Amino acid sequence: MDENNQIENNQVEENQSDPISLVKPEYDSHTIEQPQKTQNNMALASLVMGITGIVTSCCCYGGLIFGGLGILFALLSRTEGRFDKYAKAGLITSIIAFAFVIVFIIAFALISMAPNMGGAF
Amino acid sequence: MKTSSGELKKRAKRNLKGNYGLCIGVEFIVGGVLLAFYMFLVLGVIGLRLIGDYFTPEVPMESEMLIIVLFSFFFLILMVIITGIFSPGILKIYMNISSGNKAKLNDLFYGFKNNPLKFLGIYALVDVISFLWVIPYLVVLVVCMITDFIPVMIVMLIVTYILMAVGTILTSLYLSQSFYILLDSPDKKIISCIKESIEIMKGNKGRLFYISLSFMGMILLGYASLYIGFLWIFPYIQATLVEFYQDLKPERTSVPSGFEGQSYEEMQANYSVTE
Repeated sequence: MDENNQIENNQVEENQSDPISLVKPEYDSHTIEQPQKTQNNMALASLVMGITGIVTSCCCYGGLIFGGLGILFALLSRTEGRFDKYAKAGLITSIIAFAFVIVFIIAFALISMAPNMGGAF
Repeated sequence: MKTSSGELKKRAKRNLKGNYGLCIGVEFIVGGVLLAFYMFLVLGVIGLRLIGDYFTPEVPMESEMLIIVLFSFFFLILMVIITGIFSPGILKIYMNISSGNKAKLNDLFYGFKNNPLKFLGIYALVDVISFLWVIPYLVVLVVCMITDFIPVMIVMLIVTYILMAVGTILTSLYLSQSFYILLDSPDKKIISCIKESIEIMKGNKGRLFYISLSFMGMILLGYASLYIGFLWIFPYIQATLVEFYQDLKPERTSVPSGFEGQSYEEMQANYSVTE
């Protein structure tokens, strides 16, 4: 009986010191969630619209349309109480596009009113 | 629980993230259907005019115009009805988005499948109640025209105009939540929905008015972008209004007497003690 018990004890010890069971499962290393920064598409769209607005601001409507959309997207992308860096850039570029449009409109109006230039339109 | 308008808007933007495609798609579908009807109306009017001019010249001009006016009126009523049947579906989609449920394009036809007459009824009733404020103005206007705009009537006209503006705004504020209430519990009667809307809007009219006014800047941006921006602005406005309703809703849940100001767990503990 004693011999049998000894053999069983040895087997238990062998099982406990089983090297396979000590290896950590692979999936354990993935359980810790890393904070991931998601891409804010709306903010990026705002930046694209702002740049396009500046480029097309010489043709009045282009600047208005893209500038307006740029400001709109920047405002809609603000979900956490502050602007994303892309959104900030988009907002600034869109406002610049708007300002360009106003400057162009005033310039056109002044040129068209000038008597000896015959009007711009 | 009175949440600030800024917080409601933030929630609306957060919920809409990733759902803009669906919302814009819904706008296109409803807009497309309405545009198709509108085109049919325009083509119908042109067709009637052509028939009147070339094929039946013996018919007098007045009766021709009467037919065209009746035709236009019929189509306009039809367009209002279609808007009325689509609106519960649109609201359902935004309510699903707001509550975190999966919003599907299929929900757009919610109004067609579930009690369309009830939704049309509430739509019509709200419109009729709002229109009641216009009647005094119209009466005074007609009298003004008859009396050739005497000074007393002009003063009356201004007074009734102010009355109309204030009355219409107040009525629409009071009745604004009736659609949401009917959507939340479709078994309720129309009148009880309207009564409940009036009840929950007491003390919250100013908030809703302020929220509505605060969209002014965005709407101007929408006009600046030649209406393209409205594709994003309309979902944003709708989602914010739904958030406003969701914010009002907890006030409707009644807390039994003796349990006021307690958390749910405290209530459970106290309830078992009293048992």
